[in-house]
Amino acid sequence: MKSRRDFLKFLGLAVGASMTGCGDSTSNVYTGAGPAPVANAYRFVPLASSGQTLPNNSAILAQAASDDLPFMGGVMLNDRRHVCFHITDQLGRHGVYEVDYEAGGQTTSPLKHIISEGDVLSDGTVVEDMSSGYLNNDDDLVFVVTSEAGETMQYSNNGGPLERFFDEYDDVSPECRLYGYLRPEVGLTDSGDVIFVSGYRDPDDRAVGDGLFLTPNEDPSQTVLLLSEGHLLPGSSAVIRSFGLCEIGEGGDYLIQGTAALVETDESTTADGSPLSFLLHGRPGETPEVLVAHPALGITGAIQGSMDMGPRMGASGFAFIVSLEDSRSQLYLNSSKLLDAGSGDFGSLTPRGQRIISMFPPAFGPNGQLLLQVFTDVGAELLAYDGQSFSSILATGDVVDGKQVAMFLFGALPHCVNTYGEFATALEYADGESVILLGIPV
Amino acid sequence: MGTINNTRLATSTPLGLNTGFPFFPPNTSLTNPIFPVGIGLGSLPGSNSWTLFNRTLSVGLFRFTGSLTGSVIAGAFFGFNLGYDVTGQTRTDGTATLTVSNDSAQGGIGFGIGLGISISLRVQQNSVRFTFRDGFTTSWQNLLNTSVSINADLLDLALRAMRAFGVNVPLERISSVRSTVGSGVIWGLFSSGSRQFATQGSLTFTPTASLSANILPRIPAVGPVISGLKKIGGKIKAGPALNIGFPTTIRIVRLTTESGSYNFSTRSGANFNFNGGPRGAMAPTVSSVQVTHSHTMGFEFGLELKGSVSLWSIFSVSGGIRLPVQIRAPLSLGPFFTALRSTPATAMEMPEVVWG
Repeated sequence: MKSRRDFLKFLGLAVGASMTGCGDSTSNVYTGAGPAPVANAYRFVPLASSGQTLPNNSAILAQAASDDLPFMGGVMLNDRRHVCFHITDQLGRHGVYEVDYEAGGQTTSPLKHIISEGDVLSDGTVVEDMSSGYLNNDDDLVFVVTSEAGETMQYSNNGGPLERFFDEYDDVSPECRLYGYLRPEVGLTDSGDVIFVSGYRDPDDRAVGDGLFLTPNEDPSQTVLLLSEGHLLPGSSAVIRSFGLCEIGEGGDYLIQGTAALVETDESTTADGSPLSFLLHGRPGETPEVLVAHPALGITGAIQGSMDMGPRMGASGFAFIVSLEDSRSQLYLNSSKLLDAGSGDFGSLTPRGQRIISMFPPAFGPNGQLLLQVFTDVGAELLAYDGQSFSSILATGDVVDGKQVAMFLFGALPHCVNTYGEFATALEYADGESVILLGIPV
Repeated sequence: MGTINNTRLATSTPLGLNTGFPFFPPNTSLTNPIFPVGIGLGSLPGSNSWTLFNRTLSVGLFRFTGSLTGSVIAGAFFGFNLGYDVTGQTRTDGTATLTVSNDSAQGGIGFGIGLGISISLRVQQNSVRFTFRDGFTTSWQNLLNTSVSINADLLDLALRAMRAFGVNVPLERISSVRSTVGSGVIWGLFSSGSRQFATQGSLTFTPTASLSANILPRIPAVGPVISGLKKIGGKIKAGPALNIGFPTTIRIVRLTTESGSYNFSTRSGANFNFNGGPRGAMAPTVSSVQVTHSHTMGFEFGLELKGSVSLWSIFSVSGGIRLPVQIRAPLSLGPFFTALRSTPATAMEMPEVVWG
């Protein structure tokens, strides 16, 4: 990656989009367009900027360098108005920092260091890399940390120091004997329930493969196996072969993306190599339901398509993007299709009249609100859905704080809208400055 | 009718892993079984303690004395032990019945290498005194006098080092057998089984080697890919899930008393019935009981390749392929024949394993 623009191009390519910037909004308050705006307007407040001094005598990278980005894209925001985001510093080190703000965004705290490469954690782990992490509304944070000794899950309780939960070869509980291959993406609820995917072994010490595990109430010794590789995919003659991204909600509802193989042929991909993917919704102790299934799996009751993009869970249900053939995709809220994306005239039109080529996974806001970033022929747009219609919040080319928006990245992590409808996003201006931008409904 | 009083047949009492049956005993047959032998390797021959250095140096007004001694402990086993209780009877029509209980077997491949290091350091300062009576005199005053002894489990260190490089060696600390072989640390492939004769008619245990790891970080050519993805929040993983098992099954095939041999015919629960033995009158109590077993070793193999690429929580593409080389049972070694008897075995015992 030679520049941030290349990075954004990469992301665009990943979802089938191309990007250029244009636009004509000249205020830092953009009035939402569309028939039923979610808010009358949004006010934007920069929370952190490229080049800003960090608490450890370093600074956020001033501009996108040859292969480093000041803000990598991952941003999390909770109901306590605490924002955690991933940065690259001037020395090229990857880190996660926090900034807090008061209601209205007029007052922000100094940047607080959470974790960065080279840190020595309380258990002696020397951080080589960290996962995207998950911040809940109780200020708990969980990361999968990579070190020379392997990977550990580290948990911060209520803003406290990160402490080792377990490592990827631990016997965490009788049902959870980890065996390497701990996946970096985890889910976390406000009550401290953690959902994660890892390789594990059976009581006879045989490697089983992937397992989906739930650790309730921050207590690893109570970890239970929810689903396993080799389990039958409900309603099919296929067995689960791997797991991908997962999400968990209060009460134990979970979403898990994965791939399966047909029992009869043991095939787990189509002839062209596409994985036979699925999306499951389940609850502990219950048989999960298949929400999305690749057509080759033969589950007619499910939405037909591939599940590559991360599923999202909110108080009003589930939202997910289903991939179809020819780089087409569709946004679903529960079982209702909301948007199409694709080339030609397949894609839906944004409130600004641009045809949607591709989409990032949405993020849930309050009262069933959905925010998502879409890519169009002319750039990117941030849309809000209020249960009836979409409105446009932000787009490339808009002018925010007197500067033209070149690109932004919203929804890289699921928890980026809080209960007040405030959202956080990484954004780059046309002059090369990058910021973590807070959007406040007014 | 001859009564077989309750008798404990075992490779050793208590069961241990110094003595037992090798997995692959040479030249055995039903009529020529092997009796318990040493399956544990003893400590290294000769001295197992060496002085690496023991030196005193004078440096100016100081004197340095240091010594370092090392000792090596090692041991291994390769086979299994076996024990069970029998009661029963022989009959004048050439049949016999054995009731088997409290059966257990444990074994596999295990080994341990330990290193003991003793370090002694002393630093002394030369103190010069002058008196009119004695003239110049010197004495040494200790500035530092310390010693430390450590015992290092070399295999543990090696496994940690290999694990740090992403290789999860399929060896486990075999704590369950420590009490039977001593206080040292043993690593290996190990399994045990118990109380199966009555339910299955045979006794099976499966030493298993298993490997599961993300190997990409240890492949230099993949480094740029990993670091490139890392800069934008992407992650990539791939590696095998490998299982190799050696199911070992022990069966009772013959009963031999001082009167002759009986061949196994049928089983009903814990009762093993035999026929083809000597007919006619016999002593009321059987004085010598020998039970001959066969054991076979199978081979189980499973290999899966997994891989995943993800970017934040935006997307994840994963997959797993089970390679079509699942092998079970067709590859079987044996049978090999072993025997236990109530009279003392004549097999030569190997030296005791010295652990720790």
